[in-house]
Amino acid sequence: MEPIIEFQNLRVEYPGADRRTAVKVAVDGLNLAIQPGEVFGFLGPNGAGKTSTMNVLLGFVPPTGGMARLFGNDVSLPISRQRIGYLPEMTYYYKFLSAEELLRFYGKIFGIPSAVLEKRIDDVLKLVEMQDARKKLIKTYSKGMQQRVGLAQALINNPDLLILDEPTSGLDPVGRMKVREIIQRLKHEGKTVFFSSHELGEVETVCDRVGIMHQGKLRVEGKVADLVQEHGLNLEHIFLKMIGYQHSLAA
Amino acid sequence: MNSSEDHVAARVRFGLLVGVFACATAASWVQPRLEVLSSSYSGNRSVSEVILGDFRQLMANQFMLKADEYFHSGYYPSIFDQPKNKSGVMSEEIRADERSAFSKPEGKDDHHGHDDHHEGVHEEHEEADFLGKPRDFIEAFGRHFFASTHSHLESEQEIKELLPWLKLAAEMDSTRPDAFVLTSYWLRKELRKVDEAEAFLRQGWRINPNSVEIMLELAKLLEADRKDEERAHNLYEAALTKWMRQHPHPTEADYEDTIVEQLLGRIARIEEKKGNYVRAELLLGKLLPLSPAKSEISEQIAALRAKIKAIPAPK
Amino acid sequence: MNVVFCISALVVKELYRRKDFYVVFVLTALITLMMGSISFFNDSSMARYLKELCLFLVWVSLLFISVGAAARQLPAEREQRTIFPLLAKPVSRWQLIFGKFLGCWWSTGLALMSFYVFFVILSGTREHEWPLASYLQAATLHWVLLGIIIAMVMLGSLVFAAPSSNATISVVSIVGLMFLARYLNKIALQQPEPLSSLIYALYFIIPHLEFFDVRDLIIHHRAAIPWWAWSVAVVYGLAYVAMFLGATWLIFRKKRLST
Repeated sequence: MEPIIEFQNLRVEYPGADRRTAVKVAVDGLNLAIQPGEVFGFLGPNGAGKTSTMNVLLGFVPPTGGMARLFGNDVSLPISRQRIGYLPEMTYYYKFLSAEELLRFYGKIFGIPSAVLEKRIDDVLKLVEMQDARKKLIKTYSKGMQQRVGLAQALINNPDLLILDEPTSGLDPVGRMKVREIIQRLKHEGKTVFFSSHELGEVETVCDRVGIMHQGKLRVEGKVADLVQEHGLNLEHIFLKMIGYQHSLAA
Repeated sequence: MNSSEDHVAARVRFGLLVGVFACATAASWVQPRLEVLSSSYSGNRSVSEVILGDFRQLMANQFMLKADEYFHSGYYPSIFDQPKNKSGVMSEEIRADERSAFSKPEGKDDHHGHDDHHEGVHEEHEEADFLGKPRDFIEAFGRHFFASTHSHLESEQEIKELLPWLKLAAEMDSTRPDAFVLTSYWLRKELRKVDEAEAFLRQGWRINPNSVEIMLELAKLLEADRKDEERAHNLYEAALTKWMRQHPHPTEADYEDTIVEQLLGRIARIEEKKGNYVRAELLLGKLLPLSPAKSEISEQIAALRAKIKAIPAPK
Repeated sequence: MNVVFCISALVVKELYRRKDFYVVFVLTALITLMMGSISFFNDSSMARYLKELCLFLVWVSLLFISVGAAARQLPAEREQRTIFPLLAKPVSRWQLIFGKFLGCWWSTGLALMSFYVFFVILSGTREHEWPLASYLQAATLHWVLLGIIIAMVMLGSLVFAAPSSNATISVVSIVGLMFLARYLNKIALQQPEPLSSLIYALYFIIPHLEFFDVRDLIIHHRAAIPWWAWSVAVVYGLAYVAMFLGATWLIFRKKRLST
């Protein structure tokens, strides 16, 4: 089966601010493949290279070396993003639009026919429980409501792959629970989910497989149960070990 | 409503109360000061004078140029096209028209005057081709997009279009006699609005009591349009006296503005009509070196001398 | 083109919800009508000064509307980070640029249409003449000019650090081009070499925005421009639009998305 996401020897470098400043290597030789129907948790401390990897995946940053593919297409091609949904960590939406208008705008970009789109808008707004506020401008929403609109826009095209960047950050416990439920539901529908998070408990609950990045390199990757068995530690301790905190752990 | 909303509403009410109080305090502080300020600006200073200051003179100049541009239906040289003179081609044409009136009273021979005016226009037409041949294809192509052929306002309705700019120029800088004079010229000669022209000129004269140009124009109006030769004569004389006082040792440049030329010619003509041939001859003698129409004036002087000779000597 | 139209429709929606246009339109109409009510020497039938004033206000208003709108499009997407969810959709960077450009151009076109309808009614009721061909030429050329301005300002928004500096530099450049470009060949001839050749070269390179300003022709009842000349000017303007947008894309495709 062809992987949905595929990185081959991916390298991402950022030039220094001037000639004297050294080039920063954000991702160094990443090899990873994610199969259809998998929920993959992408872990790592701040500055590990998670966001850079996601940025390459979404076409925001060109890779310095190696290759990244989505559904078998090079990530630089817009068509590779036709079947994905993306939820950014923070809420970045047009505040002069209402939720309904925002979803209609994104739906039209995907080329969804009007009748289908209207039905789809109703469905996703219902899923994120935003029907009552659908006609209000986004600038009047609370942070939690904006995050739910974000989730709705990520689902508007009924994507086969959902890329979530810290999907539960800033949400209250109920909001987190709802996001987790939605991810579980998508998993049952056979969708592929690729998400980054600091919430290891959450990752442990919903993910089939995890990868831990540190200093631009993928340190470990595998099924959660296999990793726990292999290392004899829970996921949190494995994470800390991979990023070099084993001595303090032992202490 | 929950307690936090109550708290917010109370804060909003308090804020509004403070706002109203602050506005009332500010108003009671500002009001007497504004009164003092406005009284210091009272008198003949308008609001625009207070606000714009010396910028008004620049604007007046711009409005005069705009009137000139309108006279040529938008065909007007920019600073890069090196205009012939500062006063503008409209003033030149009016001067040509005025010169033509030296030897005859205004209004009596309008047809002839009109022809002369058009002769002036024709000469000017040849001179005013400031654009020349296009230097390159961009310039040649660009001439489709602005007024690049010479033309004038002709009909009464078209001439009217100059008036707003002239009026604005006079409003902006009321110490410019030319704005009053030009406006009066068009009002009385082309639009037959003599009352408006006289009122506007008198307004200009009140502000500029030493302006010989305005006195001359007002005298012309009295002579040609009011048919009041006596008052016109007095005003011509007063203007000439004022000019001579203002120029005790006139230079060639002083004579270039044609005012004295016009005054001498017009007074001479009235004196001749009154039978004062000696004074008329004297005035024409002064006019002769100044006027370009030397042969015509020489002929008139000769005719006057003949008339003087024909007068029988007193017994 | 579906994506481009979606983005442009979004820009139009944003601009008509901002209310800038309504304010300047009401101001223009009020000032013009107030000036129109003035009687000069007991005569209120003069029309040309009113047409001139109205067109001046229309030009200034549209210049500021178009510069303001174009200057903030790309910086706002980057600053507010709305560009991330947008480019995570099947949207390429040239589609984003072209969509933003078209949105600004259409919305300023709508504003221009409203202004010109007001102008045509005003001048028609005063002069009882309806030279519609001349008005159509003036409005279309003005619209093409706005296209050049928008494309130029969008390019500036990627070159200059802040939208305010871009807007200021753009307005100064546009006004400079409008007033000086036509005379650069004359200025060149008065300069010593090699300055003369440099200025002359500049004269051929810069966009001649004065081709799109035919206010004098409609104020003074001059004949309509030959249609072939009008067509050439439109093509000339669109060529500059394409050049500016091309340059914008070349810079934007290498640009980091966040500021």
